[in-house]
Formats: sequence, structure tokens, C-alpha cells
Amino acid sequence: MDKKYFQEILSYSFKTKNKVIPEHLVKPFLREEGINVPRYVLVEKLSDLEKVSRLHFPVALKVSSSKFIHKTDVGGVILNIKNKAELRRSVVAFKLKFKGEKLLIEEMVKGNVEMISGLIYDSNFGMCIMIGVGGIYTEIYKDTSTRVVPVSKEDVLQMISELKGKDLLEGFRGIKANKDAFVDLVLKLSDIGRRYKSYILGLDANPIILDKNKATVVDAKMILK
Amino acid sequence: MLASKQKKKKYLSYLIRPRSIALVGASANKSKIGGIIWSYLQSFSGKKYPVNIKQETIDGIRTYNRIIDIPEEVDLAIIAVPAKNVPSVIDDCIEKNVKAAIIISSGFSEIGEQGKKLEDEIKNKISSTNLVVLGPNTLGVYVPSIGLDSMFVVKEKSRRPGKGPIAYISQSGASAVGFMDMAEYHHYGISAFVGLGNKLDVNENDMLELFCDEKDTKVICMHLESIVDGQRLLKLCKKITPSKPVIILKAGRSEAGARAAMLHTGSMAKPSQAMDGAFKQVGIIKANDMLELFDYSRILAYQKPMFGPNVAVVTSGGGYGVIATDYIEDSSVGGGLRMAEISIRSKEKLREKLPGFASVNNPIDLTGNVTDEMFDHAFNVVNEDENVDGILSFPLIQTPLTTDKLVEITEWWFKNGKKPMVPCIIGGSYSEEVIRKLEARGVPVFPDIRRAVLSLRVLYERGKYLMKVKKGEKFKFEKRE
Repeated sequence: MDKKYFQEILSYSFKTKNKVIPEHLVKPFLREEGINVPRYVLVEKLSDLEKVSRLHFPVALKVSSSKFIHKTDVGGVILNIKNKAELRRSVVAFKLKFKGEKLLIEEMVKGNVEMISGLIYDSNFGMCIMIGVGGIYTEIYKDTSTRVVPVSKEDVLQMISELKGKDLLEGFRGIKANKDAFVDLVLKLSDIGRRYKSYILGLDANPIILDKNKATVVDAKMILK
Repeated sequence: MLASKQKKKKYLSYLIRPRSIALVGASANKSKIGGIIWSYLQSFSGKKYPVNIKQETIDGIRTYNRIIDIPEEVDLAIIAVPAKNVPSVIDDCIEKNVKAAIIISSGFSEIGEQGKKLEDEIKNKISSTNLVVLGPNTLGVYVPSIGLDSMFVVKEKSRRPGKGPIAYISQSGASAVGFMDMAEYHHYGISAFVGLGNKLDVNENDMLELFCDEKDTKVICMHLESIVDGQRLLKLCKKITPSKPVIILKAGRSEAGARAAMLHTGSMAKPSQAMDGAFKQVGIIKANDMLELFDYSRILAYQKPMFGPNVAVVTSGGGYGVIATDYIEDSSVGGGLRMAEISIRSKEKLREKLPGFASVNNPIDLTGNVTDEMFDHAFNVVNEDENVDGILSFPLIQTPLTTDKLVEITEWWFKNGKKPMVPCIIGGSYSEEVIRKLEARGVPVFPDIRRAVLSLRVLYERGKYLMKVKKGEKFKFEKRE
């Protein structure tokens, strides 16, 4: 019944007794669900760096582990790596710093607007979906709206209309951000929430970077029940 | 499982529609809880039996030692004996095939572990029976249409509202007393009051099931402190709200788990946000405090919904109009509505009967020279104006040329106008008299501009929801937004 990558998530959690799912397992799952994620390569050993030729620079290097849910806080993210030499140095440093952990190398995503969306299991109302304005001030403004899943397109549009930052998706000052792509992504997350509500406690897609054509989930976290 | 649920639902109605009642702990002493309740039960139209092990008779009526001694059928047992004696009374209820019981007594889970044990004991006793139990620690029920009143608060200090369209359910006894006293004062009529107390058995979802099909109830109004099963609540409300508005005041917040707070989604959302969103999805109107609960339920019960955001303000005082405009348009503290653009034709019609210095723009200011006829004319014009979805009126009674007739005019347009109208009257004892006259005629009046505007917002929220869930149906005044 469950698709391949969700099965992997479940078996990872079962084997390791971890409820926090590392990003390298969440990303392929989202991709399988039809959600845009950056192109990436998973690195376990230095020789894996050969595969990186498939990616376009600049790239980001992230540690992908159950132990570090907030990677930035532990210095587990390096952005804007411009070439192979720089990448190699960074990977060597990370291998020392995060022994035995997997590393994710991702293409940097350019865009104009950052949004956030996620699933959260509410003990009273069941699986809920949240959307909000992303970016560095996300936690200051807490500009969000929530509904119980599943949501319809109409619901998502109403949720957007409840955001103070709604104009960011309406071409405010000529900023180009594809609202339809964002709505579509939220509907897909809602569908994930509906189908996996007995497993997922929460899922974060943050930031979601929007440009003229698409919405891409740059960072994703998942916690199982 | 399902079968027992259906039986349970069938018996729920005996809480508010019993044919016979036994009061366990009935007393001749009017200063005792059992004495107060017994005296108020005298207005009950069905049969009533006092149960008291110590007294032979109460006011000349013979008492029964136990419920099982009553020769006839008992639909409802009202239990007002000390908590420790309640389990054995419940045994008797089960033996007697009583259909519903209300445990008025306190001293249960609200006092701690020991009381919790008593509750669990009762739960076990009733789990395999059809007996439904309301409470404990509750005022019980009040149903004006059949004279059923189990409340032990004396009427002199806490009046009872009259018959009307609103079912009022409260988990808090103290606030229910204040609420109903206020309701009586404002002629806010209720179909039934039910106090949930500790929710040992009967909870808010059972009440939704009960009042969903109850024909005297047009609006369901709930004050909750906990939600036993949010998902079921949503399912029930989804079924009910297309035909009956549901207004909920939920005190306290729904918390997400600590582990989930590791995620942004968990930490960024306000604690009540899941609930707020869920309520919107199923058309529940949320109240933030008791006054909102009161206002929203009465306006939804007595006024029609509003099918667009455009409000016309009809006033004879310019100052009210200015404040009202601010509140109407402000989306954070006010209504988030719009000031209607009065049509050219309406303006012409208004000018025909208004003094030259009156303003025919919105807010329509009839000035201090206003007469009853001018108000009547202005109400007529805005009702006919296609640009107007709802009306905020200030029938300013203090002006020299207006008379008592303004009460009738306001009542007529409130009830017969095509557009929903919300009246606001501000003042002291004289205004109070006028408000009381209007409210006695079934016209709720708001003594505060913001409260009036928020009530208009709720009428619009209701209208929008109806347009959404009944897409196919034509709404008379449906308009573009």
C-alpha cells in the first residue's frame, strides 16, 4: 500500500528506533509524491563525490541525521559552495565533524519568495496542515494559517487570504512567485497527511522557494508518531 | 458498538424531554439543594416523585425511600445526594430502568483522585446499560417549554430566560448562571439549557446529536472547557451547520505535543490555530468570550445572514457613523467588512425626504433634525439598494423630533427588511428603556458599536458559509465580493 520511499522511512525508524527522519529519506519521499525538491547527491564516503558532477554549482552541503534536526544550530549547513575544490574541503571538514553521518549535497535554489508549509498531528482534531510566510523573520511574524486535512483548493486559497503576507503571492511590487505551484504543493502535502496520518506526527517543508514557474521544498523534516 | 451508540442517542432526549422525574435527595427544607430543586420542579408539566430516605412526606406528598419503590416508570432521575451515595443511586436507576440521570452533586473528579474513583465506579456501572448520565457537578437542565428546571440557584438571584430558539450548553456552571440571567434580561429565548459538568458520560458531541434534530432549536450555542473528541465534533458540525448555526466558546487551548514543537509547523502556529482552522472548515462560529457567545448566538437566532460584505450605516449622529466606519473596515479589531457605495438612485431618493444638510453618502447621516419618517424612508432606500448587503442602524432616540414610533419602525425593518439590520443604541437609563422595548419584541439591540459591527461580521461569515456549502442554491441577495 505504501509507496517505496515511505516504506524506507518506516523501516529506517523501525531499525534505528528513531522518530526523527533524516532529510535524505524525506526528500526522495517528497519527490515520489510529486513535490519539487532540489537536485541532490547523497555522500557517505569521499569517493561518492564523483557523482557530484551531475549537479550544477553553486551547491549546499548539509548533514543529514536524526541527531541534528536543526542543522544550522550545529553548523551542519554550508551554503553557496561555488566549485569542486571548495566542496571537497567542506566535505572533508564535515566528515570529521559529523563522524559516520550522511551528507547531502544539493543544488542551490534561486527564487523570489519563501513560504513554509507543514503537517502537524493535533491530539484533538487530527492531522492539520499549516501554511505561512517563510524566510528569516518567519518565527517573528508567525504569519500562518491552519486547517484539518484534507483541504480543497478553495480551502488553500482561503488560507492564503488569511496571511498578512498574502500579497507576496499576488505579484506585490512585481515579485514573481507562482501561487498556483504553491497551492498545488500544499494540496500534495495535504494528501500525504491524509494518507499517512497514522504514522506522521509532523512534517516541515521550510523554506519553500517560489519563482515564476515553480515551488521547491528546499528543506524538509519529518517526525513520526 | 454501533447499536449501543444508537440506543444511547435515543435515550439522550429524555434529559430534556422526560415524561416523569424522580428527584433523589428531595427535601422540604428550601435552603437545601434538594429543597430548591424540588420547589422548582413543581412547574414541570409531567409526573414528579420525591425520593428521600429520611422524610415521609414533602409538602404533603409522600416520598419514596428509593427509586425502585416508585410504582410507575421513571424517565429521568435527578440526583442531589452526597457524592459517596451516588453510586448506589445509580444502581437503583439501572434496576428501575431509568432512562437518564443527572448527577447534580459535586465532590467528584473536580476535587481530585478520590472523586475520580467515584466517577470511574459510576462509569463502570453504566457502561453496559442504556442509562445516560449527565454531570456530575452540574446545574443540570432547564427546559422552559415543559417547565423543567433542575437548577439549584434561586430564581430571585438568577433569573431564567423564556422560551426561544437557542440551545445553550455550558461546561461551566458559574458562567451559565450569569449567562442565563443576562439572557432573561435581554429576552434571549432558549429551547433548552444543558450543563455538562464533569462529562462523565454525556459530552458536547452528544449534545450536538441531540439538538441537531430537535425542532425547537434553531441555533446551538456552546461554552466548552475541553473537547473530548475533536474529530467527531467536526464531523457532527459539518452535518449540522448547513441548517443550524453552531457557536462555540472554547476556553483553554488545544496543545500540540512537545516533540512536535521541534518543527516549525508545531512551534509557529498559535496553540488554538488548529482549532480555529478546523472551526472555519465546518462553519462553526468561534466566540472569544461570553459576551461574544451571547451576541453571536442571538444575532444568528433572530436575524438573517448577510450575503455580501457591504454595510450601509444609517445614523442621526455623525460621530457614531465615523467610529462605525473605522470598525466596519478594520479587519483585525473590527468587522473586516466594507462600507457600501450608495447608488446614485438611492441618493436621489434619500434627498427627496431628507433636509439639505443631511449626508446621503455612507454613513448616511439623517442629522439631529431627524424624524421617525426619515428613518423609515432611509431604511427603505438602503434595503432596496443593490450595493447594500447589510445595515447598521443607530435609531437615535434622544433627538427632539423622534418618538416611540421609532421602536415600531426599527422592529418592522429588523424583521421584514430584505437585508439584515443590526441596531445599536447607546446611552443611559432612557436608552435602556428603549432597548428593553425592542428586545421584548424580539429585536436584539447592541449597546456598543464594536459589538454591533462584530455581529454583522458574524452574519456575513454565516452568509459566506451558506453560499459555500449550498453552491447550487440561489441566495436572494448573493452578490459579487
